[in-house]
Amino acid sequence: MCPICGERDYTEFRYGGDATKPRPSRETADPKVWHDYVFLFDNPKGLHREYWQHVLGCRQWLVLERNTATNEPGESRLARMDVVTCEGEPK
Amino acid sequence: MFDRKSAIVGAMSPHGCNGADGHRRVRIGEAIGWDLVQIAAFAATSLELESTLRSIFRLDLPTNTGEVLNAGDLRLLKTGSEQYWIVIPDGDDLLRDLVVSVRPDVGAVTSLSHSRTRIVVEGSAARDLLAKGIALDLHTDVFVPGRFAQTGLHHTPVVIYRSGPSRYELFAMRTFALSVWEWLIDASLPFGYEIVAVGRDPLA
Repeated sequence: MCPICGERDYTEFRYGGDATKPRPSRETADPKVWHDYVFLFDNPKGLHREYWQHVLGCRQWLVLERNTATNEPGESRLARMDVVTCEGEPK
Repeated sequence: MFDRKSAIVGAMSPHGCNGADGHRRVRIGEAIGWDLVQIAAFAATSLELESTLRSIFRLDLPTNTGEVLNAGDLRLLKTGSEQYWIVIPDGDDLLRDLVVSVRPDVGAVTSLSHSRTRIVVEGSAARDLLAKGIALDLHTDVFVPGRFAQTGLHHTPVVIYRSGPSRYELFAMRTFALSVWEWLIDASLPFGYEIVAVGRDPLA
């Protein structure tokens, strides 16, 4: 479900990553912090929040709640309303 | 001003092919002689942009994405929360007026005329043809004439406007237009097709 376009086929969307991980602060120079942010992921079972882009539609970035065990989609919002910002920075 | 050259001119020779039942149930052509303008506000300035546009057009704007305002030769599509497309006859002064009226801190006015190819598909099999490649419910009760959708066809983004029960306009990205055109022709083979000449309203 796209908040702009409504219900659409999954082929119009592309996955954009984990929406629950806070991005490290821009001042962070520690390579391990960036390594962990870029390469290490949890593999949660159940409800999860993910970035998706409606790439063949309105091209908006979304935050979608999806059950990783059943592939059942849940609520979606525009990512700009729900973005996880850098650590230590205001939304 | 640079002349616009069709992206599919090499494929546009008028011809046709009968379908399995011996008929030609789809007509396909390219519409020319139009300009396309995109207007986009920032999230915080969307109301100000709406106010500016209302003062220019003196009409109520569409409120939901997918809705279209038709006013004479002008067609205004609401393509996002703070974004519109306007289709106008080429040479219209509207683009210049919009650039003057929409302040840069309120929104951006961008000409997209050179970036899209407008393909018109019409006929009793037009819906069946497009349903082969577009993942939308094209039933007239759902995708009603006069509405549009931003979707995908043949792996590329297209805007599809339903201008009648059996008539559709596709705005394909220019660099993919020939690919979309070739897909349409291939997918039309079972129904039979007729390619009509390029024109402002090629199927009129």
